[in-house]
Amino acid sequence: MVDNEIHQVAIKPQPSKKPKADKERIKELKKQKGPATKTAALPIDEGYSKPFLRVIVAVSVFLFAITLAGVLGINTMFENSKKQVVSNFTVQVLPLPDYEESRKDLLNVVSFLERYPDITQVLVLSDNELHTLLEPWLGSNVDIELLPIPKLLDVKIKNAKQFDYKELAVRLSEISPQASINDHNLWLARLLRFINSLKMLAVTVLIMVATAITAAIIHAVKTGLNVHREIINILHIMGATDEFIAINYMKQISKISFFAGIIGTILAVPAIMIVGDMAKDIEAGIFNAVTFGAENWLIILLLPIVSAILTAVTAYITVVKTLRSMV
Amino acid sequence: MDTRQFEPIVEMNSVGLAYGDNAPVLKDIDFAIRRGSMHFLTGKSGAGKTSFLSMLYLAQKPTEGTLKVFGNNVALTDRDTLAFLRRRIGVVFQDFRLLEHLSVFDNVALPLRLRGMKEKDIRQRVIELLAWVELTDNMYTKASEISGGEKQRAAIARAVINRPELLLADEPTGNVDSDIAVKLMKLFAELNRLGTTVIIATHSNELMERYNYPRLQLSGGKLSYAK
Repeated sequence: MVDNEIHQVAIKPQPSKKPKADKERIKELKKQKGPATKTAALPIDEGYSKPFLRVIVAVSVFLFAITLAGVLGINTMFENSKKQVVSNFTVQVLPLPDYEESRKDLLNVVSFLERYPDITQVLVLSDNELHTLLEPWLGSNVDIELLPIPKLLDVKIKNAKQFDYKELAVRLSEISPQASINDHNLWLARLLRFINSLKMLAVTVLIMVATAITAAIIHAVKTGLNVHREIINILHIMGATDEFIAINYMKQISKISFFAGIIGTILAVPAIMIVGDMAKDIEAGIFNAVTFGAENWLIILLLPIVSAILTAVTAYITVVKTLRSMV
Repeated sequence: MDTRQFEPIVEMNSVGLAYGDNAPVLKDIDFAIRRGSMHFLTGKSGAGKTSFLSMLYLAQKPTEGTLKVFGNNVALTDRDTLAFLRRRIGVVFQDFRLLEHLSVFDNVALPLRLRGMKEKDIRQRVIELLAWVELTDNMYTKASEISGGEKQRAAIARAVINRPELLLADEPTGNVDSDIAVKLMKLFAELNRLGTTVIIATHSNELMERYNYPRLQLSGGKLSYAK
């Protein structure tokens, strides 16, 4: 009987019937290690999606790094400048018609300021320093002593945030009606507005670059899924969930994005250094702190990881959504 | 007492299947397949055997009627549950449908990886089965680089590696020589003896005459027992 003959055969090889050489070979094969890399069940399209993603991510990370470096550089420069500005202010003492009275008035003001709480230093700008400041406007042949130029005092303070400029102004006017304070607040507010506009512009560029990279990833993923529609069908039939397929794809695509991100960052670093050096060359007056610190470099160097995470999340969501619309 | 053995593994009530606005390929099928049974599925070319099987392996939902697989109404089952149900089904396709970019080993290992089995255990089971279908020499060769007969054996190994509850085979002996065909039929029979419900779609009268299993016939979109 055929049926009986069939039912007597076991699914696994019968140890007694198996030739010894075969058994040894199977045993040996089981002990051996398989190939080092396991091929992904759902591959990324080599012809289009892979090179497309590499180029797009590398270029995007490059642009992102440059723009981000700009934002961070401006921010650092502003913070450093602000620190210096708010810990200094200028007092202007207008001259009186009589030279001796002017001198006395100046001494009174200096003496008052030196005794004032939280003021740590009062420096009277010398005629030479004033001359240097005015030289671009008045030329070098003018005798400054003949001109009714106010005396300038550079005042350093501590606890700048708590310092009450209004009170000082009131008390100073009691000592000398000729004296007035310039605490840089107006100038600072304008500078802050300008720098904030620059920052907003740069952040807009960052958002646009991030949007572009996200759109590119979505495009590459969708194209890849269309190319491998048949593989996806087979995986589904074998019991793969959408999440399994998405994770499988996400791992590959985020690896590509990470390495492309490294390339983009490597290209961006020298560009940032060159621009940084150029910024140092234009340092002047209050902008004496154009620095790009270690923490800023760390943020730039983390960009490949950020791009890999962004790619992973985008790819996962896109794959799951696309698969749900496929079947 | 396990009452599951008396439940039908597949239950169809007035099931019909149509593609778009075309005439239905299958219609009014009222049928139940008992757990642990083994059947041949016959019918002329174009009779709808592949469509019928595709509903059973849950690639398609019927356009009419109710289909229950493992007691689950397919129309009311969510995607993830359907995926888990599919893992209990082994399928041997007429055109093999191996993942061509993967090696023979990875193709056969895939159902086990989907279940999250450890690589060490996967290796043991895959090698054992590949040895049985005589494919160990080619196990690291890409599926695209092996012959038709080898693809057939790899496809069968992939379908049975999971010890499925329901095995569906579409012309499984079509591309193999008679010795291998006998060996494969013995494998299906052994799986059936161990509890797997088996449905084999075939044209081969020789096969059906040699192995005396009940025959289901598809004709005019309807399913009936062949005389």
